Amino acid sequence: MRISNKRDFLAGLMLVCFGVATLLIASNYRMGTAFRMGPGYFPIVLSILLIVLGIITVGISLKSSEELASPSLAWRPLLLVSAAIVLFGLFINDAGLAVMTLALVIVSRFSRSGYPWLETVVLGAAVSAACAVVFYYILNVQIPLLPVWWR
Amino acid sequence: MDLFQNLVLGFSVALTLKNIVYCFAGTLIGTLVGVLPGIGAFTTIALLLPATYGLEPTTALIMLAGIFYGAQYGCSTSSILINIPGEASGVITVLDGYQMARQGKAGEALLVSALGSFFAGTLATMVIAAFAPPLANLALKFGPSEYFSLMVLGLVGAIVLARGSVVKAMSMAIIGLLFGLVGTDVSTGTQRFAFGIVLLYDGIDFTVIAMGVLGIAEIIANLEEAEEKRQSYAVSGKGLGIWHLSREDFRRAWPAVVRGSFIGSALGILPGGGALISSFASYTVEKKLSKEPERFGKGAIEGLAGPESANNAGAQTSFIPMLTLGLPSNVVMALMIGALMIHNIQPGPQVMTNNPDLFWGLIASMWVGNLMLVVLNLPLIGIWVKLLTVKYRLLFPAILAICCIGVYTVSNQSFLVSVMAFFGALGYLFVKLNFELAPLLLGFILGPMFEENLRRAMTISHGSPAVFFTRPLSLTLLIAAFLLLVITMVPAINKSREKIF
Repeated sequence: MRISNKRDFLAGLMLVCFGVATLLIASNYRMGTAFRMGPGYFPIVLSILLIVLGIITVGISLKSSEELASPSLAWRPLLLVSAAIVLFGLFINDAGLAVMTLALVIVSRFSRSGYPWLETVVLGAAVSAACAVVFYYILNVQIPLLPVWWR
Repeated sequence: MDLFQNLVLGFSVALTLKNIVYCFAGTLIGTLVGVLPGIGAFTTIALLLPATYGLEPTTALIMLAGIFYGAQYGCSTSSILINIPGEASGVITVLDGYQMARQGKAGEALLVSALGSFFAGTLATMVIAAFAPPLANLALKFGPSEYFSLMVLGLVGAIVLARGSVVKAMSMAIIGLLFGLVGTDVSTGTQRFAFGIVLLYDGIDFTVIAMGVLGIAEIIANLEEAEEKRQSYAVSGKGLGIWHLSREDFRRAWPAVVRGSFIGSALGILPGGGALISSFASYTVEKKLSKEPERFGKGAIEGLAGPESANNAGAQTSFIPMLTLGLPSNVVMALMIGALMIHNIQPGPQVMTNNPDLFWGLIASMWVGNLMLVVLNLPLIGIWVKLLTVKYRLLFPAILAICCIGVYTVSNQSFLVSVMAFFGALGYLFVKLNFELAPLLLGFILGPMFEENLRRAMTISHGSPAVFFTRPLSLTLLIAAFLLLVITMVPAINKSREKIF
C-alpha cells in the first residue's frame, strides 16, 4: 500500500514510539489508586493517551490523499550546531568562556560551506571578546573566563 | 474609587527616578532584541534574571516586563523594514507592513504601529487594572480541582490556538507534560525519567527546554534555508523621513487599532493566549470586515494597524493570569514567576493584597514604558535600521553563544548545556514533522502543577473524579474547555481555521 501523506505518518509513528517508551519506563513506578496516586499513575495515563493520539495521527495520514513527502533533515547544520553546543557544555568549566566561545563560533560556522576562513576567525574573536565583556565583566555572571592552566 | 486610588499608588511607585531608569533600560534592551531576529525577549530575560537579584523585586519586575513589551515594539520594526519578524508575533506584521515599506510608506507603517501599540498598551493597562482585582478575589476561592480545571482550559486553549492539526497539538501538550515530570516526584520522592542522572533529579529547568526548542531549533532551521533568500530582503530606507499620516490612512487605521486592542486584551487574558494569537485574530477580523479584502497582503494599513495593536495588548494582558492566579500562560510569564520567587514572593492571588506596591507599580510602569517607547523609539529608528543590515551568517554564532552562556548561568551546570542541544535537535525534528511547539512548552510549564492539583483534588474527594464536575467553578471551566475543543472540531470552523493559519 502506498502512503501519500508520509510526513504525518512518520509523525504519528514517532508519537507512538515516544508513548511506548515512556509507558515502559513509567510501568516501573508504583501506580497507586485514584484516591492516592502513586508516581506512576499520571505518566502512565499520559503515555496511553499519547499512544492513542499517535495511532489516530497515523490513521488520518493513511486516509488522507494529500501528497506530503517525509521531511528531509538538514543533517549538516543539525549535527554541527549540536556538536558545537555539546562541546561548549563539556569543556566550559575547564577551558573557560573566552576559549569555548571562540570554539563554538568556529564549529558552528562549519554548518554551511563557503564561509570565508578569515571572517570566521575574526567573528569568533569578536563574539568571544564581546561575551567576556558583557557577561563576565558587566553582568558578573558566574562563569570561568580563562582556561584552568591560565588562572 | 478604589481603582483610582490603586492607580495613584501604582504611579507613585512607577514614577520614582530609579524605577523610571530601569523601566527605560528594560524597554530599550527589549526593543534591541526585538529588532534582532533570533534573539527574543525570552532569552534576554533569562539572561538578565540573575542580574536582578540585587534589585528590589518591584524594580526588577518593571525592568523585565519592559523587555517583554519593548520586544513587541522592536519586532514590528524588523518585520516592516526587512520582512523578517524579530519575534514570533511579528509574522502577521510582515504581511502588510513590509508591503507598505516597499511602496515607500515605511515611515507611515512605523508610525501607525507605534501609535497603535501605544493605544493598545493604554487600553491593556486599564483592562489589567479593572479586571485583575475581581479575578484575584475569585482565585482566592480556588481549590485544587479549580486549578486543575483551569489548567485544562489553558492547555486546550494552547491546543486550539496552535496551527495545524488539533490531534498533533494535543500530542505536543502531552509530551510537554511528560517532560515536566522528569525529576523527583514531590509527593513520594520517587525519581522519574531521570535515568540515574543526579543532575536531572531537580527536573529540567524550563529555560533549557525553551532555549533549545525555540532558539537552537530555529537556528538549525534557518541555516537550512538558502543564504540568498535571506539576503534578498533588502533594507528599504526610503520614505523613513515622513512622520505624518494622511487623513485617509488615519481614517482607515483608527477603527482597526481600537478593535485590535480589544481583541488583544481579551485573548491575552486566556491562558495559552498572548501576542501571537491576538495578531492572527485581529488580522482575520479586519480582513472579514473590510470592504476591499483584496487589498490585504498588498499593504493595507488596517492589516498592519489592527494586528500591531492586538499583539501589544495581548502581550500585556497575558500578565493577568500570572499576577492573579500564579499561572504562567507562556514562557516569558514562567520566567516572571521565577523572578518573583527569587525575591520570596509567592505568585498568586495574594500578591495584590500582600505587595500592592509591586502589583500596581508594575501595571503603572507598563503605561509609562509604552509612552517612553513611542517618544524615544521613533528617533532611534535610524539606529535599528543599521542593526538590521547585519547578516545572519554573522549573527547566528553570536546567538548560539548567548544561548549557551544563558543556560549555563541559569543553572550553573555545564551538563544542562548539552541537554539544551538535545532539545534543539528534538525541536527541529518536531518542526520538520509540522508539530507546534507552543503547546509543548505550556504543557511542560504546567506539568508538575497539573499533576499536583489532580492528586490533591482526588485525595480530597476520596478518589472520585466527580469533584471536578460538582464544584460550580471547576465545572464552568471544564465546560468552557470542552466547548472550545468542540468548536474547533466542527468541520466548517476547522476549515476556516486552517485558512487563517
